[in-house]
Amino acid sequence: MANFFREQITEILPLVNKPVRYIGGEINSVLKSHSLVDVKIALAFPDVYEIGMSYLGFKIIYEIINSRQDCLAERVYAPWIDMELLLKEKNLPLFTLESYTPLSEFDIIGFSVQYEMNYTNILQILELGKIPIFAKDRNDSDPIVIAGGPCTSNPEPLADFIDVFVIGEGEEIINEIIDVYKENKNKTRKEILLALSKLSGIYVPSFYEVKYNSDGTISSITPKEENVPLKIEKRIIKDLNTASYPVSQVVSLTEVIHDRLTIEIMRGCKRACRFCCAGSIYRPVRERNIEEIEKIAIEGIKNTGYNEISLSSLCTTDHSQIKEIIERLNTLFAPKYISISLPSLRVDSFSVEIASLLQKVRKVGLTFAPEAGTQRMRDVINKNTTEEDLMKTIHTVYSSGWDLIKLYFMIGLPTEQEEDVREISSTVKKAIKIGRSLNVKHPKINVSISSFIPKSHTVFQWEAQDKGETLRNKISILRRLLQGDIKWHDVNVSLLEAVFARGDRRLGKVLFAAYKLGCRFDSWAEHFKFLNWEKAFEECKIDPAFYANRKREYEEILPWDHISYGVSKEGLKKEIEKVYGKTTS
Amino acid sequence: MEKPLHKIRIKYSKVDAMKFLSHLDVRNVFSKAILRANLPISFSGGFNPKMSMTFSFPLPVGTEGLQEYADFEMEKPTDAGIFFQRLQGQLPQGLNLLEAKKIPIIAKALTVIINFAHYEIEIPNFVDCENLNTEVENFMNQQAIVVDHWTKTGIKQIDIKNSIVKFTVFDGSKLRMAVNIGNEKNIRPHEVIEKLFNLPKEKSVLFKVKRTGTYVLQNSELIDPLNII
Repeated sequence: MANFFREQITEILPLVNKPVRYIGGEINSVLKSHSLVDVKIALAFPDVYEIGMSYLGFKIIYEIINSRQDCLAERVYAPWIDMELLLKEKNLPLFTLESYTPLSEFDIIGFSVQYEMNYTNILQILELGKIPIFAKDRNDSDPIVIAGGPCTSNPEPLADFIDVFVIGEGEEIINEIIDVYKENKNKTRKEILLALSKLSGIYVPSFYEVKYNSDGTISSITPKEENVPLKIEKRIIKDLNTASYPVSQVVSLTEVIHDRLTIEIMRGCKRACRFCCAGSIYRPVRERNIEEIEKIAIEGIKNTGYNEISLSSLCTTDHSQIKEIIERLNTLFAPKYISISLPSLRVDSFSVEIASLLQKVRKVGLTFAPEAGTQRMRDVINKNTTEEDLMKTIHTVYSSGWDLIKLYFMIGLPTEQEEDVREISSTVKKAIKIGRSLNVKHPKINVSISSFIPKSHTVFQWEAQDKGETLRNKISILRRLLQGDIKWHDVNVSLLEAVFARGDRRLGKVLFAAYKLGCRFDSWAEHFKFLNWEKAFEECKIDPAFYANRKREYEEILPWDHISYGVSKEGLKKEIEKVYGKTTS
Repeated sequence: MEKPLHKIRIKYSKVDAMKFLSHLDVRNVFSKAILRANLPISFSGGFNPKMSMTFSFPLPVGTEGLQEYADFEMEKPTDAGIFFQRLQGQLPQGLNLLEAKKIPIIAKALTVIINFAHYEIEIPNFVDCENLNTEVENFMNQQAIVVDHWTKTGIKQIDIKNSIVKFTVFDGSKLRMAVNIGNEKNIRPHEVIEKLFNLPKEKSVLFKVKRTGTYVLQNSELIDPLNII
């Protein structure tokens, strides 16, 4: 059977673009016998292979599950449109890469949800996997559908489709989920879900009822079952050094976006930027120590053969030993032409010094995120960077031999005036001037503009997103002033991000309607169909502005009020009051 | 950066699912395998140092290769046997190492010496093979076989007839084709299929094609590139 199915898939592969996305067989991928384990889990990533292969959380969970004798994990990624059409045409189910097993034959499907614009692909994977899209339609023989990842900071828009959400960090709870499933696997679906809901950090949305006021806001969120928690507390790993870390990461056969060994050197961020959801939900700050990092690097490179090690965290240069780490890794790996990289840098001279150390093997680009153009605005978002810091940093960069700098800014922030937007351009022009004064031949600055998305569990969770028209206007001011290299985020995409980041479970029907209208791969410009999204909202009689562009009352019950990331609403309120009194925390 | 001392030439096959790897993918897979195998390969200089390795003519994505070749420049003296042993365990199933041989650094590049290839084509069920022999004969008796090649400057029409040295039917529904290859006149077997059976690309990709060997044709003799120095 399995072989016949594999043959059928192999027959259609010559017809699709990049068949290598679907063949599996990568170094370090794990193929176990299905008959020898108790629990079979398909880990699903709702974007295409080249994107999904780069996510660390996915790799962590894959290695933890497969290190157990009693279970197995296999991978599945969203099939590209051409593959989806062929699977449908031939009536073939979506399958995992390791053993070509249809998704419906697994006990658990575990989605990694990183980004709101991947939501439609969750529906795509379920449908192609021949698993009922709606949780309420699944019966005892269907897999349990679990979701984890940063988007569970507000799981509500996915409540109709997901049986179980994991709130917080997954390293420990994944083992508990497997144990509980194993004990209860012969019971009914509801009994299994009830047993899982007893675990700290588990949220079963179907066990809760949400009621609404006549103005559309939420009037109550209450448990429907006995003994399920009123509030779900996030899970935290106490010590990164003892937490499981994947050293045999699956090495893709084809080029993927981050084709390198990722080492998470720190979790959490000591900065408190008021817009940042990751900064809120990944608290507290925990460092991995230098010995552990070195061990992972040596083992990881030996097992993968990558020529780059990326030291990742929300703010990598904040690690107390960052310089020593890079120096030690350079000593070990530079002779083998293996380079070290960091995701982005803080605006300070220390970061430039660190960046110079990274140049040992390969030339690296520099990216900074001042986020705003005026001091007032940077104070509002609590980005503790001064104009002086920035200009000093730029000075050091140009005088250290770089001629290209990437700068990230955000528009549409709370209290923003046109003046604040214009000043972004003055900042960039000042920076170029510094380059010229230092006789850099072609000082160049690439500017990336994104629109502010108010997020759950942040100080700005009550704020309104600027209307599309306002954002477009601000972007065109900058395009006019800066002329050259400026990139900006699609305003319509930002609107949808804002809707789903703070939406409630009524959005499930919009998601389903949009999916049925053909929306998927919404993060890919060539597939993003905003007209269909507008149609879906209209069909469901839901106004996206209610979620995105409305300033919420502090007393309002927010869709994620029953999900606790350890950040108190009272504390957030105090902070937002400071914003309107214009001080930094 | 030390100067390379010698090369290792390998013969390998690219079969089963690995036939879907692009030429660039194969390069990436080998470079990671070499690092995992901890073999002392040379690197190029510059801002972005790269491993010194070269491959023979690319196989189209989806085509199997039974005797493909690659050269690696070594920084330290490396025994071919050890190279073979260490690299073998690091390649994914379907990229199979067949042989390794130490050759001098001045040995000519594979793309300079290789000039001949054999292909086998399996014809799928949806094609009628009754008059196959005649069809192939007529095909070869044409004055010219002109195909479109996409190049950087646009579509170029080229005559591939003289590159096809021999084209025969075997086992009733299979074809064997011997062709000249080289930088100027690379034949893509699927374009021959499209011409011969008058089929669109979405049908021709369903034909299973194997490159069974690539050779150095010298004095009307086919020589294994491993034996040319």
